This record gives sequence, C-alpha cells and structure tokens, in this order.
Amino acid sequence: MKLAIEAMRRLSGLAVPLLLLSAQQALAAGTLAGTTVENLAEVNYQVGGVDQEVIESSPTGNSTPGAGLGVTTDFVVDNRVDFTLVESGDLGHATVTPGELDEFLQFQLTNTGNATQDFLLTALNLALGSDVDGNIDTDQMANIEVLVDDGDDVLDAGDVDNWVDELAPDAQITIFVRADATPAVDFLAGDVANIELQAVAASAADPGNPGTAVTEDNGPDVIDAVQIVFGDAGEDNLESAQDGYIVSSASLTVTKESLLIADPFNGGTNPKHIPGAVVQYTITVANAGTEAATNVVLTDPLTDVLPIGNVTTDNGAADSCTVSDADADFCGFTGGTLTIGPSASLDVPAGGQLTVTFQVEIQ
Amino acid sequence: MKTLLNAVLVLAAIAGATHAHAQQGHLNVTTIVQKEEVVVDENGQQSTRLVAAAKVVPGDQVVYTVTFANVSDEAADNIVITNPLPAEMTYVEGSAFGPGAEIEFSADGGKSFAAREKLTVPDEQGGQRQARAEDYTHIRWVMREQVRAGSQGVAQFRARLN
Repeated sequence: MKLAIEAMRRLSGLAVPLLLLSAQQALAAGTLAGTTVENLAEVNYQVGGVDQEVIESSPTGNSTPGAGLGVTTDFVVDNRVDFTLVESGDLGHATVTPGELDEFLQFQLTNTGNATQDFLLTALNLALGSDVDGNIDTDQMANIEVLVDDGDDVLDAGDVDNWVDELAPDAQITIFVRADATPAVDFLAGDVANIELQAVAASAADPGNPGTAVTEDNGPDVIDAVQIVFGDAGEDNLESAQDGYIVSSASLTVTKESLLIADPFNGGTNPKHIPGAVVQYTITVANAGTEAATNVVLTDPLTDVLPIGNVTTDNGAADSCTVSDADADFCGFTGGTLTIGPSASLDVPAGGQLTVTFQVEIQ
Repeated sequence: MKTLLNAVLVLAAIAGATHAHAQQGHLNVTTIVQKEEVVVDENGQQSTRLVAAAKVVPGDQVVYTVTFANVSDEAADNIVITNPLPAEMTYVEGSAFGPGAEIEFSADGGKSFAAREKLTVPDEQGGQRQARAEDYTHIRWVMREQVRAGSQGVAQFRARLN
C-alpha cells in the first residue's frame, strides 16, 4: 500500500508538464467514442528456480495461471463534443447593393470531436454598432436563412436544410447564410450589416432528422457508458462565426449653377437679371459611390422662369423642353416643374458625373 | 443434514487443494485503470487525485496500475511484468514506475526489449534512431529482488488516449 501511495505521488509530480505537452499537440478527432480500450498485463516468474506458468491480470485480481485466463481491464471512450465554425469562401465582408436579394455568406463547420454528430444552426443579425473585423454595424438584413451545402460547395437548389445531418469525426461541411438587403432605402453606400452564425452539436441517433442538442454528463461517472464531455472552445457546445455585408451603392451629389447669358437691353454685355433675360443652368450629378446610378431622374421646380430651347446632357442627349412641350420621353415641363430623364436612361457611373444644361427666360 | 453439507464442503476444499498447482498460482495480479482529477480546495490550492477512469476522451491520460501480490507461502523470483500498450493509447514519456524494477520497452510488438535510452527503431534513412514514446508497443518491469510470501509489488505507467 505504501508503494502504491508513493507511485501516485510520483505520477502527480509529472502531471503539470505532461498536461502542457498534450495541450500543444494538435489532435485530430482521435479514438472514436464507444471504443472499449482493453489492457492486460502478464506476469512470468520462478519459484525455487523453476519457471511457473504465466499469470494474467484482471481488474479484481487473478491468480489462476494460464494464457487467456486473465480478464482485460477496460474503459469505454467517451464522446468529446468538439467542433469549429469559421468563415470560408471569399473572406471579408460581402458586398451587397440596396434591395439585392439572396446575397450569401459562406462558413465551414468541422467536427473535431470523436463521434458523429448532427449540428443545429442559427443565423442572426448582430446589433447596431457591433464590430466585425473593424466593420461597424449600421443595418439589419431581412429574411436571413441558413442553408447547408449538399456537397458541391455551391449554393444551389439542393441546399435545403438548416441543420447538418450525421457529420462524421474530422469531416467538414460548407454552410451558407443567405439574406436580403431590403428595404432598399435602408441601405446606403458604405453601410454595414453584420451577421453571426451559431452551431450547436446535437444527437446523431436519428439519421435524416435533426437531433436534439447534446448536454454534458455532469452526473455520476459510469465506466461502461459513453458519456458526453464538451471539448469545444469555452466548453459550452456553442461555436459561432461572424461575417457580414458592406453596402455598395451610388452616392450622388447634385450641384446647380447659373450663368446670366443676356438681357433684352444689354445683350451679352453686362446683362442684368431683368424680365426677358436668359439664364443658363448647369446641373452636375457626381457619383462618389462604388456602383453606377442608373435611370437618374432630375426634377427642378422653376419659379418666375420658363425653359427655352433644348435641354442637353454631356453625353449628347438633347431635347426640346419648352412650355409647349408636354412629352416626357426625355424631359417634360408641367405644373412649373422641369423633369429630366424619366425614359432617357441617364446613368452616372461610379466615380463619374453627369452634366445637364438648359436655359430659361426670366418672366 | 447440516453436518453432512459441511463435510461435502471440506471434501471439495481438499479436492481443490490437491490441484493447487494447476488452479492457483503464487501471485495474484490486478490491473486497474484510473484517471487523474484536479481538485481545488477552499484556499484555491490545486491538487490531483486518482479516480476511476470513467470519463475519458481523446487526449486524456489514464494511469494503469498493476499490483502483484504473492499469495503463496514461497518466495517468487525473477518476476517479469509485461504490459502491451493498448492500440488506442500512447505511452507518456517518463511515466513508467516500479519500485525495485528495471523498466524496459519494446518497439517491435514484444519481440525484443531494451532500456529506454538503448531502444532503437529503423529511421527513414535506413539507419537507426532512438525509439520515442509513440514507437513503444510494450513495457516490462524486470524485478531485481524476489517477492516474498505475503508481500506485493506494483508497476505503473501512464498513457494518453489517441
């Protein structure tokens, strides 16, 4: 007995460095849960110089000589629930344009535990102000959905489940999170919507159906049963990964300048703002955003002036848009408001600008 | 009736005794497996204790303890305890322990044994290198002294679940 105590003391002294050693090793999933690990010692000896038959060990003590007459000392390998969830595919925030539907993020779930598990998945908007990789949340995505890849790493019609069925130890699977940038008016250039995907390991006992989340066995230890031990980060059976969207959009700045051209008395020389004088307006639409602005429509309520001649743009479009011109294909003038562009497909490219010029006569 | 039963039992005991050499060896050999548990007392001091190896997951270490008690009335000489490492386990370097024993290892399935520093295995270049813990297949304890009647010895090692 004294020997045994001494043995324990010695082994205890080894504990700290040995534990450090094991932490440094990158373990794969390891021995499968449910495996019975057997051990049997054998003792050979002599009595009075005569060889005796071997005696094998047993958990409770064996003194019957003979090979095969011992009993193995066993334990059953328990279920270490361990898994990782990381962003995958195109790293960094995905770009989304206002109103865009079904824009997706990609994640990878790896079962680093030693048993096949189901995984339950949840995706959610992070709070306004949350910071993911320096991107501060300003917007909330709509209709967030989790879709588990069917094996081709491409988001397609085969990806229907929002949970993972029967993921084997060391196996990994791609998870997509899909969301809509709606309503469009909420999404301005440079806005950020951060998303978190959460995974929880569940029982794999029922293939084809999602299992229930596993819970740690904190009760009495049972030698022969497979018990569940949480080995994931935080030991809480919850792993999460964060990603998000950055809004890519047009960012328009509109400026309007006026230039007095002539008056009826002085002509073009030092003209005065008097009735009958002609003023040229130049409206500049500059796009500082990262997306082209398309189908731009300009409206300009005119008071005390009437348009004369053509409205021209710097991309060559021109149309008459005088008082009598009521058509609205390029521009129209009704109710005192000049409208330019309803069907003119005026575009302002990202980083570019559009200039519209027209003249009015002071009434 | 009771007397008769007792007589039968005595006869049975005598019959057992006559076969003592076939049925009963001189040593009683026990192997137990335990796990180290860290205990923190009310002062925050950490200590470890060995408990039943009930909850073991990959990466965990267990302690195997072989006890051999001489249950005969004769001394046992030249005792050699051999323990194959379970296939799922890796020996923890430096952990084998046995008072009064030379500890040797095998890296060839138990065919040959040598002390830790003398055991070699083929290396990738066709030469030999010193065996490492993950190469070991067996451990054995060669007792230097006899174990007298009524005494016992112990052999112990630690292994990590792969």
